Amino acid sequence: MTAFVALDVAIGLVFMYLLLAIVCTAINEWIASVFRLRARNLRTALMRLVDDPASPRPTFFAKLKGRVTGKRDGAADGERLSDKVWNHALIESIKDGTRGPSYIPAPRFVAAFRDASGLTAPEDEPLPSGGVGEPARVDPLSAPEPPPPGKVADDIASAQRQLQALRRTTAPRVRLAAPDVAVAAHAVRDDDDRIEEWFNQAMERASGWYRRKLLFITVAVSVLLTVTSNADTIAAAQILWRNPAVRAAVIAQAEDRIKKARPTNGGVLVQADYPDKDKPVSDLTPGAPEDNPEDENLSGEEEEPSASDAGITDAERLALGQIIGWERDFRRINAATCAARQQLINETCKPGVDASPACTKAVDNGPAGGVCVHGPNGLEPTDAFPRGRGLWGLFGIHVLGWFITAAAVSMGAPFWFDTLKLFMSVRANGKSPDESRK
Amino acid sequence: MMPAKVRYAGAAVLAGIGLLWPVIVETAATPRVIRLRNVFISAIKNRATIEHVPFTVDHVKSSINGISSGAEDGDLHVSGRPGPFIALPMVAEVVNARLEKDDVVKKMRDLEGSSQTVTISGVWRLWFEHPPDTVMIQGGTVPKPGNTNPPHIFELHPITAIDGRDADESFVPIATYTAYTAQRAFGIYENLTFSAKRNSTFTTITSTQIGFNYTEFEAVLAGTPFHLNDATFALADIQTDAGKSVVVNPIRLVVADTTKAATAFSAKSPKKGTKVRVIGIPRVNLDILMDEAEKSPGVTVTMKGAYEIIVIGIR
Repeated sequence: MTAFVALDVAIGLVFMYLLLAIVCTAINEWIASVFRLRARNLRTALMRLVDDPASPRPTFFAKLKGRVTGKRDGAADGERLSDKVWNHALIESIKDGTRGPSYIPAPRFVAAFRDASGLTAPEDEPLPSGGVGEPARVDPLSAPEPPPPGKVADDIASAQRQLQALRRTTAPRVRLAAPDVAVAAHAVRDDDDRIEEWFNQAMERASGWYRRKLLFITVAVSVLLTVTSNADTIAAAQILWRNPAVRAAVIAQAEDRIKKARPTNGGVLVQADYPDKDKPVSDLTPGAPEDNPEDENLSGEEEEPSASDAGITDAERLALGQIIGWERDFRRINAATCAARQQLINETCKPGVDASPACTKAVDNGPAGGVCVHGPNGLEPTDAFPRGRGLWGLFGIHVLGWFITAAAVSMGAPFWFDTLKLFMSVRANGKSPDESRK
Repeated sequence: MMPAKVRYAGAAVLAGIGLLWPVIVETAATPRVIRLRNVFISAIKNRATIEHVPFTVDHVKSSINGISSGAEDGDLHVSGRPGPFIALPMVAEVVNARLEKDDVVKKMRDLEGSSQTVTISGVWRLWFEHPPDTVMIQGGTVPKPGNTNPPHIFELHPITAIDGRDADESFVPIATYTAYTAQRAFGIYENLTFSAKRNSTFTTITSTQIGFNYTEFEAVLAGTPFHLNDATFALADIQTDAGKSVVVNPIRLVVADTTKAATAFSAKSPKKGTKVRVIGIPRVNLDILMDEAEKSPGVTVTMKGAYEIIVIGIR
């Protein structure tokens, strides 16, 4: 029996982590959107990829100092190769107004890079000379025209060095003897592939930076969310253990939650694409999920009108409110205040005697600050925000529980959704004797 | 020095724009919502046209649009009330109306205000060009429109037949019309987002108001054309006249069977790599949008590039 209660408590905690993680994801997405984190990350990655690391860009403070003193370093502020790529028409066309793109398809980067750097495009490449069967000496990575002056030239030279280094580290491909033209085309295509590979490797690194940045934000948001909602794992476990009604309400919501879609780590914007270019139809299978006549809702109203932006229903919020929140703590602190005020009332107001000014003052002062109300048995505490030093004591009580919750929430909604499903399936396979009898 | 009157007029215009700017921005960026029945979407998503729609013609524009650029596209606008299958406020448009046999246009005019119901066929088009401020829900009684261009998101555009009279002549490039360039139009289309949330009966589709109807571009087929139902579908890279790609991924072209555009398309013996010059209009690609929404029922999915091009003419 105790084992079943323990399982239910564990489910309750996992459910709490899941809902908080969903809210945390929504906040993260909002932050990422407002601060354009993806686009900024991509821009930084592009700068680190194509700009010459030997001549770094001026820092924010250096630029600021230049503006204040009026001494602007023209070269430092000048256009770089990454600016030319970023502002290329092919990249401009996938920007969302002034917002940069969240990602750049590799072939698009290759074309923009070739244009911006002045490196010859495959179509423009002069045919090479060379004997049959001998790999033609084609180097489309060399600039046919004198490079533009300034930092862009340094950037192009740096990019060429990187690409040539990449070529040396890539295993040579085995080719059959072929006519010159075919070999040349091969070589050009190989170089396009190499630029793509160079770009893709950089994007993998950028993806890693972004994940780390997001992890930092996630942890910060988790901590803030945990403390503001007072989501103390230890306190929540105690409530769930002691209160079967709360446990049942939370389990009921957890059962509903696992029927919903698995949450993702952020609302990903999907770029439409048909993987098979010869089959521009998503699904030819007849009888895909269609209307359920029993479920007919001809009004067109949403089926879950209470779903909030964060994807949490009102019922879930109510269930969660029973195990987290500040109300219980505030009431406990207010209880001490009310007891002290009641004692003062008892001392100053004598039964059978007309109320003295001190008594009247004590009675009037009873509900001051909204922390107490007059009840049939004297002053009763409310869950209003208390005043006084009692608040500081709460941090000491909750800090361990908060730490556990924040660490758990940082693990993300998908993880806790999968865990909840697992726990619920264990629970379904071994129902408690009480439930089986029902 | 500018005359005082000019200065005052200029200041007044600027002040007016300044005052109205929040309204303009708000209007353009407000999400517009349509809720469609899943059966309806499944029935049409991989078709070019909807045929034999009962349609009560309420208003016919008094004159065919002139031809130059933008909205001057040579179309004839008709508004009315469709039968229960569509059950949405809608308009129907005859493209290249000047080319159509007189009896098609005459038939339209004869029907205006008659409240007579005829059958109409045409290429379906979901596009947030003239959306209402409120959520548009499919079903129920469609109110009688007040003019030829009531708030609507759904259209039959172009019409292929009305009351037994074919309008297939219209599927050719509009002579002397200047369509939006690939760079301009697809720069806008590619940045559009379409959100979809599917439940058991309805799918809610959200986007923002958008125009840019006719565009002319070079399409390089990315795969072999695929025939299904009443159309040929082909994925194509969209390019400018200079051969620069303007789309992230290939876009689906929809060529309705038995039209002049279909004849012109097949004459090119289309296969992967074939380049065709197309005049087309965009519509929401319900196939790819629903495919994503079906993977996550009850969850809002947001896509970029979920549109396709109805081929009106091929040069």
